[in-house]
Order: sequence, then structure tokens, then C-alpha cells
Amino acid sequence: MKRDLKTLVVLALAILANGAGNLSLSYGMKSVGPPGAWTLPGLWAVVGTALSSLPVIAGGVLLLIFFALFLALLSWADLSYVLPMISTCFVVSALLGNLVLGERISLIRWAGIGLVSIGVLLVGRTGPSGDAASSSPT
Amino acid sequence: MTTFLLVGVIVLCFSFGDIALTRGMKQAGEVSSLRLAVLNEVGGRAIRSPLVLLGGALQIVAFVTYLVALSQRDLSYVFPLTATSDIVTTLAARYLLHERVTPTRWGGVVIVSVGIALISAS
Repeated sequence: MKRDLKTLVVLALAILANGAGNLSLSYGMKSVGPPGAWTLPGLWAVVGTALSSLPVIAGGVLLLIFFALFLALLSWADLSYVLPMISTCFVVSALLGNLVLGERISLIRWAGIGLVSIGVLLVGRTGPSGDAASSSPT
Repeated sequence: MTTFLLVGVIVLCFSFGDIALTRGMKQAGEVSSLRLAVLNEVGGRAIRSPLVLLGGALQIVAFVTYLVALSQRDLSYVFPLTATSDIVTTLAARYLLHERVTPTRWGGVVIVSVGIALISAS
């Protein structure tokens, strides 16, 4: 029970870090702008500008935190539980893009958001580790 | 044709990367508390674990291949195809990691994958 709670808290933190990270990256990269030319020097110039943008760096750090939390989850929970649960990130990113950046969400995308939410609720019901919940009391 | 080949590489690298990361982290030990000493200890073992490093490397290969695929085709074409990796990963978790995947969990994984495909296809 205690472990289920820990899993949900770390999952929530990971999803928040991912959503905030993507938002920050997207916001920062819009002001960096697309590469002037799709050549190696052109791309390199974008990387240079991006690395001097505070929102891009903050986004990168948040995504690193996300990855660390993802690894922490895998240290005790099933991969077949964590992976679908982490997909909530897609929903959060889409909603944040809509609310904060004013990006439009099409009808098909709303349907996808609904399906991911239903799937996550189903997987959530199975608990972080399929066997530990029922059999071993460790 | 090459796009499908690239998607195959992406899906396999993501899936086996996740399998390696999971096995490595299970060996590194549970992050049992948020105390700095515990994080340091488990983190140190994780960073030195060959499986975690292999998993990280496979994720990087998958990501670079993904960028290559995106340079050829639209995001709305490539990304939904890579959503199949969740199903491949669940199969691998079942047979390689011997996780118990109940019918409820299978149902959830399939619905989530279809949902991801729809979100990115539009």
C-alpha cells in the first residue's frame, strides 16, 4: 500500500517535470527559431543559440530530472506498469501546449487524449508490480 | 521502405533500451527513500551498471534514428508508428523480465498505444 502511494507520487512528479520541461523547451526553441540552413554549420548555429537560452537549458534540466525519476520508478515497479502510466505525459503536454502556448487541439487529438486517459486508468488498477500486490508480503 | 526499416530500429532500440534500464535498475536496488545518502548510493550503482549504460545508449541510438526518420517523413507519420514500441516493450517485459501482465494491464497498454497514435497523427 505504502509502495503504491510512493509510486503514484513519483509518477506525478515525473509527469510534471516532463510537461514543464517540454513546455519550456518549446517556448525557448520558438525564440531561437529554425535553422537558417539544414547543413551541419546551420544546425550547429542553432545548438549554440539554444544553449544560451535560459528556457531551453531549464527544459533540458527538467527532462533530465524526468529521466532520473523514471529510472527510480524502474528500481521497484514493473516496466509494463511504468511505461503506459508515463504516457500521461502526452496528455499533459498536449493540454499545456493548448493552455499556455495557445496551440489548437483537433478532434482526433481529443479522442487520443481520451483513449490514453482510459488506458492509464486501466493500467493503474493493476498496481506497480503484478505479483507483489497479491502474493508476497515484502 | 527505408522509413519502415528506420521505425523498426527505433522500436527495437526503445524497447530493448527500456528492458536493459529496468534490469539494471532492479540490480542497482530500490530507491527506498529520498535521503541524499540513499540517492547517492543507488545513483552511483546505476551510473556504473553496464545494463543501465547499455539502456541509455540504446535510447540515444533510438532518438538519433528518430531524428533521421523525421528528416524524411512528417512527424504525424513517423510518431504513430513508433507508438507500437509500447506493445513490443510489454511483450519483452512479459517474456524477458517475467513480469505478470494481467489482461487488464494488456487492455490498458493497447488502448494507451492507440491513443498516442491518435494524438500524434493529427
